Amino acid sequence: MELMGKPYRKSAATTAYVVPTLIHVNAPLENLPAEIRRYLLSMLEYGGLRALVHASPVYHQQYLLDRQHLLCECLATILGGDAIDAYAVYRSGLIEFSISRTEEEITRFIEAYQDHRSTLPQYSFLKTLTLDEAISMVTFHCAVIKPLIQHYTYWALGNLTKETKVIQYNGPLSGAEETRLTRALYRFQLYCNLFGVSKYRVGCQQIFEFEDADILRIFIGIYEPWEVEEIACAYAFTKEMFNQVFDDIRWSPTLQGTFDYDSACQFCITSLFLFSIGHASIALYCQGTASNRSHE
Amino acid sequence: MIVNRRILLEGTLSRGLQLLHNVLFKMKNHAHLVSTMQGQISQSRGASLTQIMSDEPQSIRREQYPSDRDWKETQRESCPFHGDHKELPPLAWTLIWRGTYSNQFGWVVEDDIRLWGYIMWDAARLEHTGAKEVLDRQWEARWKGYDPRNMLF
Repeated sequence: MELMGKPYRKSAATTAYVVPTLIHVNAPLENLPAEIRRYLLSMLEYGGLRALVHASPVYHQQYLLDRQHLLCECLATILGGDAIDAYAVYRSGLIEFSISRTEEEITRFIEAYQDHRSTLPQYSFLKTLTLDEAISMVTFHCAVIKPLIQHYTYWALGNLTKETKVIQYNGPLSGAEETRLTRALYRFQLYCNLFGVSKYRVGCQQIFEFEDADILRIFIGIYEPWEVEEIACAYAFTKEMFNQVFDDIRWSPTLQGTFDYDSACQFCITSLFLFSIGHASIALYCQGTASNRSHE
Repeated sequence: MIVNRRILLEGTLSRGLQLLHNVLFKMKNHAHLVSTMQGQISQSRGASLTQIMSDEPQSIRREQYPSDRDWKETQRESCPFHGDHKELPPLAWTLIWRGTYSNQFGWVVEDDIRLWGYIMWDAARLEHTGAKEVLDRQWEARWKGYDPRNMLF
């Protein structure tokens, strides 16, 4: 599978500049020449870009003319060396890949990803992204990855405080810490996209015939061992969070609409019984089979 | 942990971070959480990362597909801490492996160490927070002075 091998496409908006229709006497930022405005926008990180574009109609117009270029610049700033991981997550997260994955395609995907990791300059390929791709990647990063990094940091350093028994000020993340956390989350997500349950499927899921040692060789083995431990930390975090969710929704006689996973027969785990919300009946939620049975 | 729950937990978390984000930040109330999870709970369809990174698959991988990293470990190549940089091993890593290369991960580290994100933090944070001592204590409790690299083969 071709992962990133698209030809370099020059931004169509390179020469498009917007002329402000209204001169704002007291708005020196808006009266700057278009070239400078464009440069300014391209220098901002996502939060600043968003704020300025929302605050100023002139910058908003400028942004619309140059959106693809600006979002790609923005991705380069926020992702840096993690851009290839983020793009691999984007591509492997597309529905057409996810629902039709086979062992061969997954292997080819990882080979192409590994190839690009070792040969490409870290983020030059970002210039070749389409507008939709850039929007999707910026959105995922800002709406999912960033809040999770914050939550992870708060959670993990809280756990550390329990160990040291000393409450102390924890300074902001350094560049190296942010990189480790970001790539850990992206690579964990990549693992999920490649080998996990498809987010697009509710019922029947694919079963792959990879041996554990195969996954170690073709995927885990491409990272340095301490980078694998970063992924393992992201995994431990996810497990803890879902464990709490499972506790919260676990069946109890007083809670309506809860799950009774623990009593289901070990050999019939395709059947998970749900106590249906707002009804006296008990619904049978069946994964992987189309059969429905009644349960009293 | 009960077998069913573990399989469902592994499957559900393997749906990825968007779902995690939703359940952490988007739930309005308990009923909303239950209805969200209703459509998402799923049993795992393959090995979990815990299983993949356990000792047996790693031994098989080493035997069948030996890598340069295995060689560097066998040679105990020097791998000291050279500062916090994205390409270089962090201090916590060089401390537990005493400055030489290790290609061990997964089963050798217990989750109590991962719960505070040992591998994520800079040297300065490890020093200032007392995390270095915590790491030393937890690693010692697990391995009691033994080097797990000597266990294989």
